[in-house]
Amino acid sequence: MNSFIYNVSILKKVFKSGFYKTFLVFLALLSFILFDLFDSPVPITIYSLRFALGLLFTNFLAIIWFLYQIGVTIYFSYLYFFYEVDNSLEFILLRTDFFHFVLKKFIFLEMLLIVFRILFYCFLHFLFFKNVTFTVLFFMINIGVHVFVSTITFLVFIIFHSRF
Amino acid sequence: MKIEVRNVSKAFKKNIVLEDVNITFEDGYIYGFKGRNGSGKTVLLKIICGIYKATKGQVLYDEKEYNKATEYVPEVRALIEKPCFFPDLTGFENLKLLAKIQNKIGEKEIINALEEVNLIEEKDKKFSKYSLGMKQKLGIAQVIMENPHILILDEPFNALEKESVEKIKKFLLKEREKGKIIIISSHMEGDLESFADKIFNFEGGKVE
Repeated sequence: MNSFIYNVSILKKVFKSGFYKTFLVFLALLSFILFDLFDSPVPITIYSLRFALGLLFTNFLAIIWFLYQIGVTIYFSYLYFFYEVDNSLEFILLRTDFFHFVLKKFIFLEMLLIVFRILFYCFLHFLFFKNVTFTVLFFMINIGVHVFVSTITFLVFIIFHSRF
Repeated sequence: MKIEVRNVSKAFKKNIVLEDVNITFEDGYIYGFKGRNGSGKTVLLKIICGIYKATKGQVLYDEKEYNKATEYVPEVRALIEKPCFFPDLTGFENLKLLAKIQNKIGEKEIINALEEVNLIEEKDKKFSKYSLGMKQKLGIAQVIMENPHILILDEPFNALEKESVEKIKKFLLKEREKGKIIIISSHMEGDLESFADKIFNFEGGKVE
């Protein structure tokens, strides 16, 4: 429970410290996509690729949308993992085995990402189920890519931390 | 307990911050680190705590070197640079969260620590509402609440009113009598002379 409160407090602080600005970009992109979706005669299958965030990019907007989400995941993971480094690291480092501590943080983040991606997928499904085909494969990619990039960010953090 | 800083050097790329520093800290003394800003005091404190790795040399606690990735030095608490707590939690809740990591103390000890630093009346205020001095006091409370054997304080009296400075100094003197090791840094003239047993001057990466 303590670990949960601690991690939620970090998330709140990270969000308030400027991460929320990425949501403004998100809203802008979403409105572009909605505009594009309802005003264009492009076949539905193309949208299925776009919204499921598959590896096949159908147009420039789909690439931007995909890269934006990857960027947000990397940025958020970076802020989250490096939180203690910039904020009184000694409070934690002198109280517990740091590797064990960050491993717990990593697990928390992965769980959060998976839940968020599922909710996000459901949200898009709810919004676009009439226009877009959603498949299980794209659902898995949607989660897997983000878990992968956050894991890479975690490994970068571990390498960075061990060098100092 | 004995802390030995042996031939420690630290460089950030080509910028040498500390050069061949040798200091031994023993029980029952207050040690002062004096020097202007950027003279390497904080870097050495960070090396002692295990936040930074020394480029050369080592820090030994009773002849043992700790690997910061998998171990932590027992009985050390520190406040280095400005204290960062969660702004949406109260001072008390912030301390409770840290105390829960080791689960060695209860609310009573946290209250005692807050009393020692003159912050008891503001304990239920959110950290975001704290003044600079209150934040500093909370950082010091975080150091003392678990009754550690080694206390490391980097510029602890910054932004504190005279009354609180005197109270904290008195507390630290009492802790010294109990045989604890206290290391304090300051760039202010006269901050340390009145109560530190040994003072080290930092200049150009060298320590005298």
